Amino acid sequence: MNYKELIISPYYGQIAEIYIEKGSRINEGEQLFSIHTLEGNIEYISFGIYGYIHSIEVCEGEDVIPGMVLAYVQTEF
Amino acid sequence: MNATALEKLIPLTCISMDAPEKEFLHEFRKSTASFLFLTKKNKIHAYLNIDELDNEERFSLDKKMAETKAVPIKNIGECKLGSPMSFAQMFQIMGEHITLVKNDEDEYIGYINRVDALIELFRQENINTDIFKVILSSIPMGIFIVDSERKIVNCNESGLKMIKSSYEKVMRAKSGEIFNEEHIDTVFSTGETLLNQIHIKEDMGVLVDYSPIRNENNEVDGLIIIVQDLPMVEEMAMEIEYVRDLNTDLNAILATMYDEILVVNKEGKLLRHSESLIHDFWGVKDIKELEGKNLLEIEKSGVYNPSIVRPVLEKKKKVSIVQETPAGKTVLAVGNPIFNENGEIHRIVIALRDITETTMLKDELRETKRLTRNYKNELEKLKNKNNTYSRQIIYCSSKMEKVMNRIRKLADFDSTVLILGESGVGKELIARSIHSEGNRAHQPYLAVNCGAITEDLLESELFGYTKGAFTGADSKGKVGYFEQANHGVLFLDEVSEIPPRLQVKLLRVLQEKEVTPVGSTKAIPIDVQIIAATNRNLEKMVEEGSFREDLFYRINVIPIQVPPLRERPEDIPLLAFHFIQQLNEKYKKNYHLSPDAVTLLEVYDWPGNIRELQNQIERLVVTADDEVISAEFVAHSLKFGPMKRTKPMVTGILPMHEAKEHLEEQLILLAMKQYKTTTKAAQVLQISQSAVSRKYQKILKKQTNNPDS
Repeated sequence: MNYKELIISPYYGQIAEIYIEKGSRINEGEQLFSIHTLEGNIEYISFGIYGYIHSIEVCEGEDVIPGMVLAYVQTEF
Repeated sequence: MNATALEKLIPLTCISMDAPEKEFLHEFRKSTASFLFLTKKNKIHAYLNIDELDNEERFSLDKKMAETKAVPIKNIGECKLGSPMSFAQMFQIMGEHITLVKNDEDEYIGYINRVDALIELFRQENINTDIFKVILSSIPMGIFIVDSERKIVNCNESGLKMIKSSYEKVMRAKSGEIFNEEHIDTVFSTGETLLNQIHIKEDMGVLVDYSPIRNENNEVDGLIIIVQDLPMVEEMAMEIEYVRDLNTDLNAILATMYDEILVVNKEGKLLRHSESLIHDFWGVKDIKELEGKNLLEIEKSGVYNPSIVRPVLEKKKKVSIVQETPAGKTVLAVGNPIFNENGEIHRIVIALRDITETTMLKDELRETKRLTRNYKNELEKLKNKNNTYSRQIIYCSSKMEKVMNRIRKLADFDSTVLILGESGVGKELIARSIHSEGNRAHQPYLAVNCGAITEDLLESELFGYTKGAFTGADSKGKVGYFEQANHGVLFLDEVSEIPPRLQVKLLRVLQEKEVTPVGSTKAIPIDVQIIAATNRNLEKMVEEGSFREDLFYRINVIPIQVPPLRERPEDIPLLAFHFIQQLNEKYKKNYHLSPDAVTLLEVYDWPGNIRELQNQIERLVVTADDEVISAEFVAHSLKFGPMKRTKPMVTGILPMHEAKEHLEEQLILLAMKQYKTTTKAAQVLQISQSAVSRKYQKILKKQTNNPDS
């Protein structure tokens, strides 16, 4: 079954870097995004399942808030 | 126009407009005719209807006023003497009070009144006299005449076409059934004219005027319904219907794709919404309660978090957000901005999907997957382990289970192990499984049988030597087993056979963890796990002085006692089946043991333990005539010596007391035969001497009475 998983921002901040692109194959724990948080830290976003990037919903420099969808991942169960 | 009409011809009374005012007025006042024709340059261009002027007008009329009151001559119908009148001329006649008459030379010879002209018209034989019908059918509008009983009494073809009906159906039909009854009632009750009423039914779309017909008392006596065909209206109506259907379908489709769809304006006010509502999300029972409310304010009040409208307004692009309510609802909201032609946000379409359950299931699934992966790894580990030597250790007895558990516990440590057990119990196999189960599984494993080689050779094999250490040595020198097994496991089988001189050297290796090759003075540090094995009683050897006590303690760190096969008979069938299957596979045969044969194997003593069992099975298979190996065949092959403490064997069913008697007899005879005296026999049989004596006498007596038995 194909299923889309959401990658969600847990922070308030700004997208510092995007390490993936549409269609990228991602592995468990791989760094996908870095977020420059409001507190001034750089936080890395990774994902617990391997799959393919279905779409990226944000761009570098964009403001994010907790709950915002950063990307959809196509996974296989 | 014929001669009868000529009688009604009235000569023209003309006044010239070119004449001076005074003369004009003189002529005017002198005239008694009803119609005065005005001429300019001797040409009639207009006429005055004197009867329509009131007294004052007649009195004060001058040239200028005459000009304004005059009707242009071209408005009046004309007819020619001798030629028939057409229907179109008739409308002209009806429109004006008079009709001018011309002679053949196109000169006006006079005029006739309207009534006379019409009479003349109806007199003409070639003209259809159903004038009303002609008029009705000439009008490009539908006309329906309704009487005071509100029934349709007349209509035209165009009307029938427009309402897609037939004359028969319409005539005497109730007008309210075809047209709007409410409007008809209004016209009858108020006398007002209703214009431009759009009347749409499934197959028609028309524009309808409802106009009253009044009688002489000004009462509404009937209606004229004028219908205009509006194909465009019809089309539009159809389109509206189509759009409405489409809307319903789209709503249904959207409802299946998303749980809820909202449209808000740029201020965040909710304009439109789909029919469905995500339960427990908004804190309202019906989504209609949200109509006209501002989502930004709802979001501010903390019904759910975070806001979707604000980020879309700020970013001016599609935003997806996972929203949560305090009650634990999780909703995925996707906000899509819609821009106007100036590039400003006009609307925001928000699609919501309830992912509470999905999120929950997803988390569960993720956890299950994690567990599955762990289990899989564990299984893989177990499988890998079983693939090696521990798989070859076949047992079901609790005694062996204890041994195997001990081996598994040992796996994480590098402790020196001493395997004790009789010859053939599988000590080497156990050593190999300790290696394969342990941390050093991927490091070398070397086995040396200390009893199999001479002292000097053993020394050089174990510790190695440097080049030129002794005559006949390899010129390059030799790396010893200790060095070769560095980081791995060295198995010293028959460790009891190590000569005393080497025992010292071995002790040093174990203590110092370094090895000095023969002929070298330099010690090489090594890290080797030692597994030693012996079938001899090392403690006794220590007592006797043939084995160094300190070495014994050094190697006896973790002793593992492998029980002999006779102490765990339950393992025998398993092992027997295993070996027989090995042989069957190897030689593509199908040998098997009869149940009795298995029992017989179980009761056997197996002094050579598993090695003996393995060889015995091979012998049985090779020598068997039949695929089924019987108990008798096994009995022949095994040496059930009188000295062996085997379990008695019964091969057929017989009464219990008889069996006991037989057994007693056999035992006593056997014991007496071997030990000669009843005292000794009693000791061996562990019963009283008197019992042996009594039973023996009884047997002898029986034998003399019945010498055949």
